[in-house]
Amino acid sequence: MLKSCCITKLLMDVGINSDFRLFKDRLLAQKVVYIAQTLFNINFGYRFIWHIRGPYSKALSKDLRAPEGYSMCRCPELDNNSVLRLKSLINELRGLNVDLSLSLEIIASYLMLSKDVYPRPEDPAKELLLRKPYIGHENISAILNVFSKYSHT
Amino acid sequence: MVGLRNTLSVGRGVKSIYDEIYGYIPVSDLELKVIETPTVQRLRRVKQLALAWYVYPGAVHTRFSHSLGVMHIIGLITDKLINEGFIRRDDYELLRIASILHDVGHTPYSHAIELHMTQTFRIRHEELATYIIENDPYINDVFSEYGVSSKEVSSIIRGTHKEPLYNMLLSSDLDADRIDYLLRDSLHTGVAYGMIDVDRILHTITVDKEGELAVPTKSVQAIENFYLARMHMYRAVYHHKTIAAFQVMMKSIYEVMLNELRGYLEPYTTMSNILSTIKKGMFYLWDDNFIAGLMNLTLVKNLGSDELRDLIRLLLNRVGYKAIYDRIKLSQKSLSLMDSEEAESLSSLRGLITDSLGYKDYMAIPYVEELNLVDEDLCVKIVDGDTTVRITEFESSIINSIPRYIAISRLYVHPYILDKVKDMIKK
Repeated sequence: MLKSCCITKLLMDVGINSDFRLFKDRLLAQKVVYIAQTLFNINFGYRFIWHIRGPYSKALSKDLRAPEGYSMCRCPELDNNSVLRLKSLINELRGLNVDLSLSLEIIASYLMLSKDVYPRPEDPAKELLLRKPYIGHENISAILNVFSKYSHT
Repeated sequence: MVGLRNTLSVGRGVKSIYDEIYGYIPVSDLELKVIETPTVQRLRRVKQLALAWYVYPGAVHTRFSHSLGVMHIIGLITDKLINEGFIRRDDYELLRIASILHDVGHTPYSHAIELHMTQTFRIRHEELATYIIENDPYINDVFSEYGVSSKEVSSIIRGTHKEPLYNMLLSSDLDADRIDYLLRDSLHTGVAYGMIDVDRILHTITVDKEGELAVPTKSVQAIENFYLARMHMYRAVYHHKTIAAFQVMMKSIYEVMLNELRGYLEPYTTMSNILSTIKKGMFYLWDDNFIAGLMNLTLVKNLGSDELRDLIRLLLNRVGYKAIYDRIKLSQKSLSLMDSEEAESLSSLRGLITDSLGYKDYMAIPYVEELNLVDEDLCVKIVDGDTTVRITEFESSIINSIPRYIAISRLYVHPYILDKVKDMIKK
């Protein structure tokens, strides 16, 4: 069974330090894992529901709150190339003038609206703007612009 | 529960079904047609609590009455939220239909055999339900006639409907499913501390400014009681030591039958066969009666091995597996029980029983469960004026003082080997 240590390891590999005692860090981890699974085939096997704040997995939430045991951590081998591409995406997002967790929420939500949600919105970007107006049109465009470089490979 | 009961006669021409909790539940033509499909009627023959009636004789209610109850509850909540402008009137029936169908994927004996399905095929009843909704010919005939999208209905059960609120109504800490099963299971088992103040919850439930389900501060006690009721029901019913013993035993019987009487269990033996029966409209025959009938036939016709027939005789005569190890821990933090040393010890002990004493695998079964009582990230929200907080952040709530997790570790053994195992442990 995958536990918080494997998610911590992935986050560290992509350059994110996290403390899962904090809600905001658990939220960020949810988005990273969804993006890792959906865009980069780094499959942890979590099922996600469509929530107000984007993809959410109850099982992952529970795992993130499990005690850490990093020295005993037994995680599956992850494809190095996929991890590097995820890291590259995150680094590019850091360059934007938007909080990283919001950028990841936008990308994860965009992906879920495009692939998993039903009825599927005709224009997922418009739908995002409708649902998350507080992020702003320009910010959403900038985030999706970065995302587009990674979505076709 | 005066407000919940429909004591007035329903209008002429409107069909209604009498429910033991809510009184008359009116149903539309479309809902009635869905209810009348063999696939939904099957739920009359799947008990809600599998073998809990071995401990609580009244617990013989079915998935059918529960599904009607969920439909009724979601209808009441939806009606309120439509009036408050959070849900489109057009989607009222969609949500009720999803509720009727949310449990159609349950196997016979509910969680007893589902355990086999999840371990063997890694499929849960929700996933089976979505497949049924999209492929069952009876349901799809009705949907075609009324122009209902099966994908839209199944998306609510999958939790991927475009409107997150719809997903929350059927799957969240405070959803219609939980409200009904706590009330219904409490009523039928007689476990009084499972009762909840459903009137207050339903009359005050709303949506906060972020779009999540919430209740006002005046309902905090009702929500606290709701969480406490779940905690009590987990221990007193859903994971009761004796009930769980019979469910583990039922799973063993089913797995031995799969080995020894496979031909009788066709076409429900493999995942592809099960999916094929769904498409052929034969899924409705896979119910509690099917398994119970096969158990009787096994004894009448002397089928299978002596061990199988013994197991069935024991179950029918209420002689269950015995717990030689039983530990329940309450905790604020997840204990990662599945990976714990305790789970490994139970597994080793089982290995000793099967390897050293030479008993078959099904004669010693570990039962390791960790239940998350409060989902900290998605627990119920409390609205106080312009601010909203999760109940875990609500200063005066007792939710902060109750355990978030219940961890149960047990090792069950076949009653015939109990003494020998005890001797082995002593040595």
